Amino acid sequence: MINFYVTIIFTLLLLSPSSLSAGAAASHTEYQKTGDYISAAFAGQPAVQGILWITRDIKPGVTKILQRKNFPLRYRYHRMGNRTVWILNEIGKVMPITTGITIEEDKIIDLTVLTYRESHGSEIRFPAYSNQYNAVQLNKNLRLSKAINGISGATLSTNAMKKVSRLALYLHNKLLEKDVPTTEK
Amino acid sequence: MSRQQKNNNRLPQKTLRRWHRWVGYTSLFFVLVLSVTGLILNRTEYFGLNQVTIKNQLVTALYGMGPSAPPLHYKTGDQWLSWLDGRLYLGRELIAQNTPQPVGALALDDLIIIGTNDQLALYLTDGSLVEMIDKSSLPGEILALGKTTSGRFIMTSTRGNFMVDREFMSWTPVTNDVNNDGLSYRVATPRPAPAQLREEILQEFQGQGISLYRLILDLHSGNILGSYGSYLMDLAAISLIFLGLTGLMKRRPADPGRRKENKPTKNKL
Repeated sequence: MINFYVTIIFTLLLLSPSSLSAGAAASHTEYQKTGDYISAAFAGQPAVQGILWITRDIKPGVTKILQRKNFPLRYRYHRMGNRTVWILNEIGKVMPITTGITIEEDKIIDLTVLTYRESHGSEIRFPAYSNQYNAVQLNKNLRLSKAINGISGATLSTNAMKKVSRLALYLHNKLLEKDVPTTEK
Repeated sequence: MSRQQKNNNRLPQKTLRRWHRWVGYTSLFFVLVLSVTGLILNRTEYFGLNQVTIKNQLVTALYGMGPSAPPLHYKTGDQWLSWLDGRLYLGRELIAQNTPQPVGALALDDLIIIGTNDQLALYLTDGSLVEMIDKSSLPGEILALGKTTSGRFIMTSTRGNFMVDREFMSWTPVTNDVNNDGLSYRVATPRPAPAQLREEILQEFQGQGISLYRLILDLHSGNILGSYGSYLMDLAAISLIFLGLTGLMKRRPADPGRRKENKPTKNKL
């Protein structure tokens, strides 16, 4: 009888690592191609591509939103009338998340996670989360006009999404303020 | 007590002894590691374990601190651009992390252009990022970067060779055989960097090494062998408990005289 119990205990202990350590591998998933996203945002119509330089007047806002001093000196956008599309990369935990954001009338009309590279937190791609950004604006304090509910276990990814949505709204506003893009194709 | 009952009592004792011996032999090595490292860890300050740093290649490889791929170095103007396991260095300065392996890098006027398969990164010569151009703004998947003798940038993609304007907005196709157009086209390829730079980058990548305390602690917990290691040490600890308990349960061959002597004493009390 003792033989039997001891065998069972040792077998369970030996088997447990394989069952407990499964999962949690880093992944790289492209949910939508950036080209397809841009094309869909303008209903297949050719949009103007331009670049917005982060000039002295824009820089403090970008620094406040991203909470860091290192960011690109210019951002590329796609525009048709008052609608702009921004493809932005922001690090969630360790890897950048590529997000497409479409803005019109100073409001987000779509936010889509295009490529997710982290091992955890890919739930942010689901419409249940991303639809919260629809019709969201930027207030004077460069914060979103609406509270966004987070996702347990995806805090850093949701923070990254909030940052890119704020940045896209900010850049869109600055672009329309200037109205004439610095460089256009 | 009948003869049959005596035989029944002997059987578990025999099994117990066999298991005690078997578990003892199997776990001897791990129990030794567990107890010796435990003793050393109890005297961390006395041995000064935190002050000793190990930079041994085997140890750094065990901790996954070694690069998974060989480094790549490109000569970009006066400076060296190096890629090591996702990290980009301009000279000795780290300028980006989590970067895929570049297919080419070169200097063009005041810009340093780094191409990966699906992204073109533009940096200033001081390491500031100008822009990351993703594949939606590129004519195709990047295969190589190059420069003509007149200093024009050429990108070889899956859709052929392309030239770009100064703002990197408009891509113009160039005939596949660039040389026929009278353009001398040189592809940016990795080159061996100075040994000192290679060493410094590797050291920056690996950090300051592992403290002896951490190494012994990981030996003790089994973490040094990865996720399974801790279970192995758990097994060793459980075997130690098992050995202790079975050791207590083990009886010497029956000594009827001693048992009889003990019993009356109990009754007296």
